[in-house]
Amino acid sequence: MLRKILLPTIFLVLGYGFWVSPDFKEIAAGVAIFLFGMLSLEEGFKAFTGGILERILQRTTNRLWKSVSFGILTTTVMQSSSLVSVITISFLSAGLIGLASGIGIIFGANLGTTTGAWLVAGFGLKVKISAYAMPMLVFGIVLVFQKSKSLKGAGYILAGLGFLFLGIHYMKEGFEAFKDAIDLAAYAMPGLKGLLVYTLLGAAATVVMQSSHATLVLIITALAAQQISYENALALAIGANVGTTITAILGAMSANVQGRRLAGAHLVFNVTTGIVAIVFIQQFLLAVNGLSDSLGIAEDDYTMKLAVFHTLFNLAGVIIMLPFTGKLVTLLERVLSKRERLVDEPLYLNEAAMELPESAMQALRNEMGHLFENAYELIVSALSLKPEKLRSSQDLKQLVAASPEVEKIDIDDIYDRRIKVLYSAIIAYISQVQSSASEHFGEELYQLRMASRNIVEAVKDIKHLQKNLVRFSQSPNDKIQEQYNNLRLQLAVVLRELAEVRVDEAEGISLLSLDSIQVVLEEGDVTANGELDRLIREDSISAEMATSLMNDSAYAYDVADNLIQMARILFAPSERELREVENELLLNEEEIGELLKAEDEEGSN
Amino acid sequence: MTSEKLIDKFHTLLNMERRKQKEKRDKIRTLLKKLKKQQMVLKGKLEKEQSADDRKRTKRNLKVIQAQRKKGIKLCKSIKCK
Repeated sequence: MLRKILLPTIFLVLGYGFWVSPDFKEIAAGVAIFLFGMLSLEEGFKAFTGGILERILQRTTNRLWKSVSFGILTTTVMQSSSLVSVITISFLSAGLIGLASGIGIIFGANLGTTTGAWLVAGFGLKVKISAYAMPMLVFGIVLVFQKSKSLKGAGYILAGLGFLFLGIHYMKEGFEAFKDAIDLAAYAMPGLKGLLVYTLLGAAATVVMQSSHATLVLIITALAAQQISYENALALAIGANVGTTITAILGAMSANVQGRRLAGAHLVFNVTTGIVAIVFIQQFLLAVNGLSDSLGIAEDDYTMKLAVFHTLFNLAGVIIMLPFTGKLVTLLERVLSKRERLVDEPLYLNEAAMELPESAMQALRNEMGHLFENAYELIVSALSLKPEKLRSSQDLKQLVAASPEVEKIDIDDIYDRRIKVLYSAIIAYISQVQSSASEHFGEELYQLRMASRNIVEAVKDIKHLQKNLVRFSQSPNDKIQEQYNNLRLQLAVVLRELAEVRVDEAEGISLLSLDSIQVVLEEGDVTANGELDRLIREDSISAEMATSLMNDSAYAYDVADNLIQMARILFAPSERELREVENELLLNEEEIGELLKAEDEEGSN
Repeated sequence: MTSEKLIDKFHTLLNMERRKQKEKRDKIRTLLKKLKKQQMVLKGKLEKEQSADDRKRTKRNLKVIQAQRKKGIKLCKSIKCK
């Protein structure tokens, strides 16, 4: 409802303002150009996020202080805390970074964004920046039309800066002319009432503009034109800080629970900082005066003093909140907890992760890991084994012998609730990513699609196998019972080895370890190793049993083979070059055959 | 560093194809080192292994690694790993 009336109201207010005052039109145009500049700047920086930023982000956020520093640095360079928030949310949603690291980045971004006030107050108002804006726009637009991604990105950044400068110029000019017509300073409100009212005004303005940076520039230019009092400007700056959390909350709506937790942390931080600033406003003013004196800022240079205040209260917020990061994480995890559902749902696939190709790919890999885990549990349960015991070092023969009778489980139901939903979501997500990501990821996306199909095929094969596993595990014929237990054991070996390879992924030879599993699989193939012929010859099993065993042996082989094929893709190193080299060293069918032959010869000697 | 080495490095930097080859060589070398390490670990394990099943498993893994190393060394020679 509010959303429906918000846009027409804004249009009406603006329209009325333009009709009443041409100077207001100039100020509003300044804000619009400034916001457009921010968008252009974000677009430009996004062009450089195809690897470099992600690598830095992953490497430099393992400690809290590093996360904070990363937030400060990137926001200072990019002059957009929104972009940093969006990247952080997409990385967090994709599972690339943890919540504590994300919170650290957001704290840092809050501090980094204060450099914008320094730049505008110290440089933007004192120099005729429109003179810089024009060449920047011209060169920027020329670069935007280039084919190279980097040049295009640089063009957007340059044009973005040009628009920012131009926006500031128009706001400055507008306020200068505006003050001759209307004196907004007459509406100044002193005391606590003014502090609260202007804080709310600052928050509302930021919610509408979706940029605290734009609000702050507006405040600074209005303050420079003496259209608002210094006291009220401070309150507006506090409000802008609180209002900016709306951007993060809106961004987190399309994110998963981790993204929502991060938005929650952002809200807690900015509201706490705002309350601290309001309660201790007098102390902050004293500190600002003292600091300004030592920095050589003139007593009546209120725009610079506003910049000092902005930095100081955000710094205070970081100092106050940083020691409580761990507790904040616990609180957010408790308040925004994952709901236990009968029907599983994707954990990583969300729109926020799709913001960047790298995070989208990581989200896909993580979700496929989730799908694999569910399929793994289902397959292990279908063999009447327990996943935790299979992952332990307990002897597998004993484990299989401990549960001789296979219990039937409702595979169709588990498939519908825990596999199909994820599989469908993965396929849909791949299609979405494919349409937006570059060709660079095309092959990998195809591979991931194949791997998810392998998982589903393995589940379908175990469903076929289960029927006779249950039937023959209760058979009075010891021989057929033994053969079906062998199938269970063979699959258990493959499943345990796969689990081990997954844990050892970091070792760097994960793909190569899969060759050993392939050898186990070929070795145990009852149809190929002559075991079946022997049983028929010795009349140990009936012809019907033999055909069932042949079919089921093929199903067991397919379960394992599908899982190995999936692992070749999913457990492969993310580094392309390493992946390619590992693939070259993998043994082919012929080489595996030779190994088996040599083993046979060794066994017969 | 001799001037020849310096020129060689400069050439590698400029030549994309050559750079890729160098990266590949480095990766193979790293992998071969890891496989060698793994081989040593498995050899040590094999000596201590008591149960027949575990011995068989370790022996099999050792053979796979030996075959992969053989393949890696061959590949390394073909692209002139030093």
